[in-house]
Amino acid sequence: MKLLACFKVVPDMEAINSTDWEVTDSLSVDLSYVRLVWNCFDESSLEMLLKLSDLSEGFPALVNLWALTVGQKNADSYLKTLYALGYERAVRVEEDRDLRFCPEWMAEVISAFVKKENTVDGIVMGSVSSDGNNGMTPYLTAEKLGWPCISQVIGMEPVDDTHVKVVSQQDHGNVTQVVKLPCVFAVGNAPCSYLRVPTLKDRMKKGKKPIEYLDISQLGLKKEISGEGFVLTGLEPVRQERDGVIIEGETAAEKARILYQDYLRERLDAL
Amino acid sequence: MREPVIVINGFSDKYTQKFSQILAVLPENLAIRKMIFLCDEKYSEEALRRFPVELVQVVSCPVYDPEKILPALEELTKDEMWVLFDSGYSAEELAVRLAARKGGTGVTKVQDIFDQEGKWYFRKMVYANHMMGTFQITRWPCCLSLAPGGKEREIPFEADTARVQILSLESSIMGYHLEKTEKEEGLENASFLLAAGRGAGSRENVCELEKLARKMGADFGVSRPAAMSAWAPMNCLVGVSGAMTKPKICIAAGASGAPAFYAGIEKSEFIVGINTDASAELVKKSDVSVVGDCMEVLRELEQVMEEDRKETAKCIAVERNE
Repeated sequence: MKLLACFKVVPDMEAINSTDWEVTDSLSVDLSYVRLVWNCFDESSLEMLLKLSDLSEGFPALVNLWALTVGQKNADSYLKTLYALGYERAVRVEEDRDLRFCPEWMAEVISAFVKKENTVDGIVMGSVSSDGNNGMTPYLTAEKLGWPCISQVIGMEPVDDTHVKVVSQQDHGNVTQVVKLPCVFAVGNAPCSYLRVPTLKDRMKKGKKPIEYLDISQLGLKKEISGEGFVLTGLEPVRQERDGVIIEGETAAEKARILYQDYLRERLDAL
Repeated sequence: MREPVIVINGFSDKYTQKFSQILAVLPENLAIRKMIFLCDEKYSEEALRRFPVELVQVVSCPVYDPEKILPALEELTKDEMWVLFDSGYSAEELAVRLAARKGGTGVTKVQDIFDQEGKWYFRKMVYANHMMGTFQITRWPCCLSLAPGGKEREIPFEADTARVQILSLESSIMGYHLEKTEKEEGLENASFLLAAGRGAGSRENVCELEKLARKMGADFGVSRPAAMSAWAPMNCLVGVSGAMTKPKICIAAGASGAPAFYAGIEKSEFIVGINTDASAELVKKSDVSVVGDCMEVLRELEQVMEEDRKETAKCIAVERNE
């Protein structure tokens, strides 16, 4: 069973002060100075696949995990981490253009890779990334490949060589179902989903494997980004400040008493 | 442009609220011609006839099965240029996949839609809710889904307004089991909420905070980092990917104030922030803040409330005796 995890690394937006959100002339925000982190939903999907692989030990067919990202060289250290964690292939499609609002193009690249390889049984990726907030790539990938799709996946277990048991969060509750591969899985609010840390030994032993690089043209795609049905025309920071009164006091007890007496008691009585 | 067809997810109990959110993003004078209502076999034709639309097309499937529902939607919307879905997980999936099948544009989490000089635009949050983006739609047909927690407009229900047509589907999902999760919905109706973030520090502390919340009479939620660490179940999640709450009072404890979390509490009437860092975003975004360890402050707050409750009970007892 070959499962492909598609992931993105994004600037850590929690590390940016609210006053630093300035829009440039090209309708973007300079985040080049901010450290990169795994997109949180992609991180969940990468860990979910490792758990699936752990659970499939003893199964007749091996679970092979591949990882794919589309972007620049700064994603390479993340791909090496995935090698160290047991991913067997780590591939980067070289791309230095602004892809924040290009979910169609992303889906085009992923589906072209899957068609080229022709042996992928399932694709797992986060349901949305924090920068573009498009929430479309897994669904468009499924449509381009003509595969079914399970949205908001929060857990996966192996059943046999061609089936997995999937738990997904839906609007009306959590649904468990058995899914026949191939399928696209869009990962949602999965618990216990921070990516494990590889041991130093694994980093030294497996993390040195060379990353595979691909050019768009090797996937049979034209250079121009195409297919998007909307274009960004405006961008503005969201201001959410309130009064921000800070309660002064010597101890936690004193502050709690002031908070209750001056601000909460009357409001609580009115509930 | 003709008015949109709207698609409502009747698998969720909140479909009336979702309809009212769709009304709120449309111009008031725009009459809705057709509503497609997705549901299982348990629906009330009588209730659907009261919706202020000309036609309700019920797509009934024993379980939510997008692989069966999508071809039906494709057929029912084949001449439509604009399909507007409600908010939620299924709306996002169906809007994008239907648009792809129609050769058009799919968009998710839309805050509002407007036209200007004959061109149509939508607005949505981007950059983890730090920025609002405005986008022009350049390819039609267009299928949009709304952002959760949006404004609502009262539905002008009338008896027997709509015609109802029914399309029944079979599902082929294997091993289906549904477990209802009630709590997230409960959080959205909470009037007093305690929401904890990663600053709570540990699973044990989060468990203690949940107990303190119960003693104080508050509902309890957590931020995404706390839920991802499994300090609390995912159905306690508050924020863009969880419950969008609107309590009278919200105490946000040990949270950073990151927009993805804050979006889930921003409709609170009164926000108390507790954080060890006076320069944290949460402090600026709260009505009042306590700078300090959230565990210490909340233990003390619960004590103060308990003392006050006892004092009040004593006073009432004395008054009765007199």
